[in-house]
Amino acid sequence: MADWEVVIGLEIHAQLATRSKIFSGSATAYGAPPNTQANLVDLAYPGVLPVLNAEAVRMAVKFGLAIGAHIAPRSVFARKNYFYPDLPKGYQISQYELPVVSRGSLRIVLEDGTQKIVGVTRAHLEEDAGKSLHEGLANASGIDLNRAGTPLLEIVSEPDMRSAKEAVAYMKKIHTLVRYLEICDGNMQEGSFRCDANVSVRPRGQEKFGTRAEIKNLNSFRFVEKAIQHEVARQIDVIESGGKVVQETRLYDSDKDETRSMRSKEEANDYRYFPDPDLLPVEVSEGFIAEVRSSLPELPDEKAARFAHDLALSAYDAGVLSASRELGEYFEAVLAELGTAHAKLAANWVMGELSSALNRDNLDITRSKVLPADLKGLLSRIVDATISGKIAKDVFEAMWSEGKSADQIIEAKGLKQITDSGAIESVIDAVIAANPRQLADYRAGKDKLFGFFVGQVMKAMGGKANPAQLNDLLKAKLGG
Amino acid sequence: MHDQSIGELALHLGAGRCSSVELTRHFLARIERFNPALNALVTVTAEEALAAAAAADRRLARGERGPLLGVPLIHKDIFCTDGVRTSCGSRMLDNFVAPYDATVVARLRAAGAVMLGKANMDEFAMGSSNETSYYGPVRNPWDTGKVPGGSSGGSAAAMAARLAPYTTGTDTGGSIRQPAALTGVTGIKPTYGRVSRYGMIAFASSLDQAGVLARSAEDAAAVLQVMAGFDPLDSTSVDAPVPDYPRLLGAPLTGLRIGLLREFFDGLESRNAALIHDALKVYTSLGASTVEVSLPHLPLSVPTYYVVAPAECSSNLSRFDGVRYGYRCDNPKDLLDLYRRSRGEGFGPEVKRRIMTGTYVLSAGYFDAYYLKAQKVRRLINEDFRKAFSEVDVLIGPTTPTPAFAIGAKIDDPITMYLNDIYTIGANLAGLPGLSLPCGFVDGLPMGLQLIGPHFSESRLLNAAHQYQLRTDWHRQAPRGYE
Amino acid sequence: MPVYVTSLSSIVDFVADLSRTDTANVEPMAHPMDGQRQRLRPDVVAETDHREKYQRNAPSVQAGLYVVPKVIE
Repeated sequence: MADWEVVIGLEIHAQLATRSKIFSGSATAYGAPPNTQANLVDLAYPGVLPVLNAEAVRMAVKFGLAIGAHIAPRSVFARKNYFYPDLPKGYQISQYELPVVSRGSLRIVLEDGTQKIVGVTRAHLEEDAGKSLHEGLANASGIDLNRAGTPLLEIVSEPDMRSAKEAVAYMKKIHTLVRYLEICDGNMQEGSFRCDANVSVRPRGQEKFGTRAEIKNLNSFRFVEKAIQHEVARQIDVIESGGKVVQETRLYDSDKDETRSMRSKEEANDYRYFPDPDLLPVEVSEGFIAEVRSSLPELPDEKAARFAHDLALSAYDAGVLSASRELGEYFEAVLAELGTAHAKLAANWVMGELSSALNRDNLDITRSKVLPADLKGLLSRIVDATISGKIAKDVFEAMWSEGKSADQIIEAKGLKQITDSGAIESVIDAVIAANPRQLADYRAGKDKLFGFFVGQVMKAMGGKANPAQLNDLLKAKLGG
Repeated sequence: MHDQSIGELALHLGAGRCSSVELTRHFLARIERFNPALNALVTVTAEEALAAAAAADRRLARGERGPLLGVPLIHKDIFCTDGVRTSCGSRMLDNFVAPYDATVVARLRAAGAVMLGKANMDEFAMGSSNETSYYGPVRNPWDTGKVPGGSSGGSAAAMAARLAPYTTGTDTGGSIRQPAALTGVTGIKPTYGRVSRYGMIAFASSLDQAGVLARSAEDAAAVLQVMAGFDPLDSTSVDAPVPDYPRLLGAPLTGLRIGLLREFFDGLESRNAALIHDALKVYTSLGASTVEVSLPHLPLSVPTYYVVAPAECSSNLSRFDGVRYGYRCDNPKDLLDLYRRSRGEGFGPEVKRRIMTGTYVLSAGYFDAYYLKAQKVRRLINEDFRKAFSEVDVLIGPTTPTPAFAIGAKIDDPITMYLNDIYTIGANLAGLPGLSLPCGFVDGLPMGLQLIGPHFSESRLLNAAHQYQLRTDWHRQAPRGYE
Repeated sequence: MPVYVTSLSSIVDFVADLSRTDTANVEPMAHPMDGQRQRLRPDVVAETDHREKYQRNAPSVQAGLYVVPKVIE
């Protein structure tokens, strides 16, 4: 069996979060009744003309700067010609030879900690097409052009990825970045963040790329990973059985977990690109670029580096906490009052209990039922030993469901930790007296029984004994 | 009334000597009488016209005055007119009622213009004889066996027959100037970007311009004044102030440097040449001087145009697919059938010819040799003009090689037809303003004198044309029976 | 064969004249005037729903959708 190398490139279409469309003044809001957000320009009526949205250009430049790319001082819109009912003009206004952004890169971090730089060949502006719907129409399709004309940023990577995991890490990084920059809401269910993967294999050591297949219809991180894995296996199988991989477009079927060739959609491979005569070249000045650069927020990598360095967090933790701007801001809000000495504690809680609760209730961090000040309140009580970490988890749950503060709940449920050595000692004495056999076994060498005693004491004390003190006192008394 | 200038009509209206409704009725009657023989109009909007005239009369009664207030016009059927059919001379849009006004239409409407109807034209503005229209050929009022020129043939014929005080047209390769010349009227194609293209059905986007056909430069100036100006809905519209064209008509011509293009006069038919030289005598008598200039790449303008224009139009016409408006074939059996038959049945042969040519020159493997090459030659032509205009203020020459030819004479041979545009196309490729005015007759048919100027020199062109028209009366002559 | 097909080859021959012209180092012109740049418009919603008016011209509409023969993906 040959040793195969996988080569993957991703094309991501991010819908830009402008209020109006890229070439017309129609609204871009999701979910409107069909064709109620499609004006004469979007409908490609005879005689209409496109006029470019300034914010779309700004957003593209923001992205370019965030990936260290070259911003074209002059870029050109081109017509991509093909016929399809969701493409009213019979051409898509896109960019071809002179895209607004080119030659950028970004750093990805894999789960095992390895890092890699992935090149971004280009990012260009173009307009989205409409949608075709099939339900309720016998042998026909219904075209909704609300989406036609929404601005897209098409981000094309170099074929630098060598595994499905790398591809997912890259996709997640881009996803994080566009949300940080507030240029795209990243909502894959609504189609505002779409990914196509170009996948090929070649014998390790061969310089020439293998024939690639393009996989479309990937709208979740999980699907991207599975689709690529499946496709790689399929291609290797084809080649090893003596066949050749065909250059084609394939759709990923998430139900069957397989890719299949797209039924002959009359693929016009020759798009006859030419500069759109209705639009003039877009000039981006140095001054504009400088102004956009100064408006950039702290980027995810910068934030992660700062967390790791200033707060002594692991690279992994720093990465998780900076994966979303809002999560990072939440975390820092907690720390602002708690103090950076407790960064690790705060990090564990944000990544642990808080994230679990958010996931369970399907909430975004911005809708958290426990605010940073409240979490800080809870963590302070751990720090000052009013409660143990274990009890804190119960308190958190109660805070989440009741909306009260940590102090209110600790007070109401009488959960204050017991730190009175004398009180703990008397309970220890009582437990030891009640369990003579376990005492004998422990002293005979069964160290595991220590946990049994801890449990019994804790139970008798309603879980409120200070664990550290309990441990010390118990050890002393059991030592014998 | 139909022999009055726009200025005179405005005066009469202002003085209460006639009303806009009376004027409108007069022209509607002429249309009813003469249009069947000429086929110059596709749609007559009698009711809407009378309503607009009544509204204009109310404005006049309130003391409002304006150069076009209450004056009727005919729009070339390429301009979208809200609530009125806009056919573009094609079966594809025979059932299309525009849901909006082109900017040009809206501006004229706001100025109080009264639309009498929509003028016939070559289908999708592709043609030089108005013989490709779905609605049949337009006939030249000077000789109804002859073409009026195209693509604004209906506008020109209607103007010559005095069916309206003025008409609008569009010019992509000569489609205002050439028919103006063949019908003895004055037509101006402004600088590219001077007049908005929003609402003007696109043929070749980097060449199309809207303009006016009128009885005289003076009238054209009054109309252009209202049509011209920046439009935020058109990205190629130029944001530059519009000069006062009527006021500048009177400037003296002393010192005007006229360039005579060698490429225009080489091989020019002798009677045509004689008329041009007579015209030049008028100019020199007014203090202008002439000098020979050359635009060596100009002969390439026709092949260049016939690559660039079809390329752009092949893409512009892709939106006509039977889905959202326009012609749809009966019972399409699948998507491909819908496209093929709607477009196959909706478009005429010349349109199909140009779409296919355009698709060919843009296709992979041919793009560099044709489209890219043509755009490079376009720059060479532009450069030639720029150099010429560093030495002269205006170029003068013929508008057409011959007077109007017979209907049916050239329609089967596209190349011969394309060569009709040989004098006019250069100005479109370079975005320059061009004007044609009547300068005499050959075989009893009108001939035109063409003026081409640098970018945004419309006021000079109108001024030069006006001064000529003060001393000659070719432009006042009407075809027999239409006086 | 339709007349427009037979004339295509003569059109193509006609424009082949261009190939004889020397255009080394000449930049193509996609617009008639050099030096113009694209205007940018502010990101403002400037439209309201005119679906009814715009769909009056539609050959086939159902529930606000433009109906076409089935689109196969």
